[in-house]
Amino acid sequence: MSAQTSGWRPPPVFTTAWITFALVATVLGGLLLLAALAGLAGSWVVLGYFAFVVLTAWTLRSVREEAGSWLGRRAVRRGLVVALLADCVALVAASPGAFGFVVALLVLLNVALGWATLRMASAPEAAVDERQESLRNRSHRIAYWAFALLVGGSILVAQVAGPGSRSWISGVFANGGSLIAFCELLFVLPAMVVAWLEPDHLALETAAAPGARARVALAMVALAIVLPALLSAGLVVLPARTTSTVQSVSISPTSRCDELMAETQVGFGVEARIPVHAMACGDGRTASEVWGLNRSDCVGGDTMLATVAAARCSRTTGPDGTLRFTYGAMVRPVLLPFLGRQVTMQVVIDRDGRVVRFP
Amino acid sequence: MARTSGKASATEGVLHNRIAVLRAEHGFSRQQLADAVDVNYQTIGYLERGDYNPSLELAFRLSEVFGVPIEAIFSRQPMRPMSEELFGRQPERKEAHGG
Repeated sequence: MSAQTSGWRPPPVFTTAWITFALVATVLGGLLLLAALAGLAGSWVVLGYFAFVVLTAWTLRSVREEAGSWLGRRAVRRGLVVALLADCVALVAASPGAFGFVVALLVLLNVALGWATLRMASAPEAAVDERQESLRNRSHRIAYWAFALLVGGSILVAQVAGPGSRSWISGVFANGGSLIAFCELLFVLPAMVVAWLEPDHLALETAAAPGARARVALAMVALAIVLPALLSAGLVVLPARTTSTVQSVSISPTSRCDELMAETQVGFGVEARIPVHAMACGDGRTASEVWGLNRSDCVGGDTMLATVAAARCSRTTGPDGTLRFTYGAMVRPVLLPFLGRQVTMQVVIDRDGRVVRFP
Repeated sequence: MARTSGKASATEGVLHNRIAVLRAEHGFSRQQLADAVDVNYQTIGYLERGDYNPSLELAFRLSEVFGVPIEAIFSRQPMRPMSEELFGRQPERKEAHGG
């Protein structure tokens, strides 16, 4: 990326887009902080990642260099616009587990868009020349019609089409992701139109090397993009951590009973916690469960950007009265769903109620 | 570079210009010219490529910087080479030699 320092005009600090970004970041940061305080799995890591993304955005913003030859290409800028629109769709449809990632990606894409367009869509009069002003006015006119057609048209069609689409549209507007996507289109669509329309940028005749701040900012962007993939891969390769407790419970004078609690945790940040909680007894002839070792107990626990599906769930009692329960869970990262690992938890209790294996 | 193609001249609203030639003659980089007329340097590139037609005010500023009248910089007709305009010489054309 070629650095272009001379002739650069400092961008305005308090633009509408920036205020919206700050509001969204504050609200999401607050929600994530609440989630972290509530002890949800992996939320501290996600909170840290979100803070890192905000810091990256801030650092990028302070880089006083124009986007170089790469972001200056119209094809790349158009790709950025398509990615932003896809992210808006993902915001509407994202599962709660993937929501943080989709929002963080939106922040990064918005920063890249601002850099690629020199934030001219929201710049004050003094910061743009006559060509940029004319392009900005044109982009606002196009964005106004595009927004009206896109949002207004969708609502109108959904309202008219039938009761199914009516309930769908009311559901869409009830979730926070839709609100963010709505604000994104409302405030950033003109910048997307600028990115789409402006021809290829010209490289400066005397290209200077990027400054230290620009290099740091680019490294932060690369890390912000790579980190979710690394954490997702960690779900598959990092060793599983298992904690378990077995507590004797006296519920019958003729049986020995134990309450079994175990949790296997895989991954860090992008993680899944698979629990087994049961009570089983042995009366000297056969072992049996009081509760908790049934097919309905083969369910995933807390997850963060991961999915858990039961791959194996079986309970058998052998001829010697030994009870065996096996729960095999397939864990996959949401971002790299082609990766996966099986986590197996096993409970073996002999006929006298002794725990032979757990988990 | 001034646009001289027949296709461009047939297009309505196309303004041909000599900015690239005059800039080279004065030894300006795009950035220096942009600073002189107070626009973004990309705007100079778009002007040279014919992707953007300037306002009257910008045309006057360019005219002042180059020290030539506006009609020497901009024209609605494809522009003739400077040598031809100044000295009335036609550019030498290579004869096609048969084998």
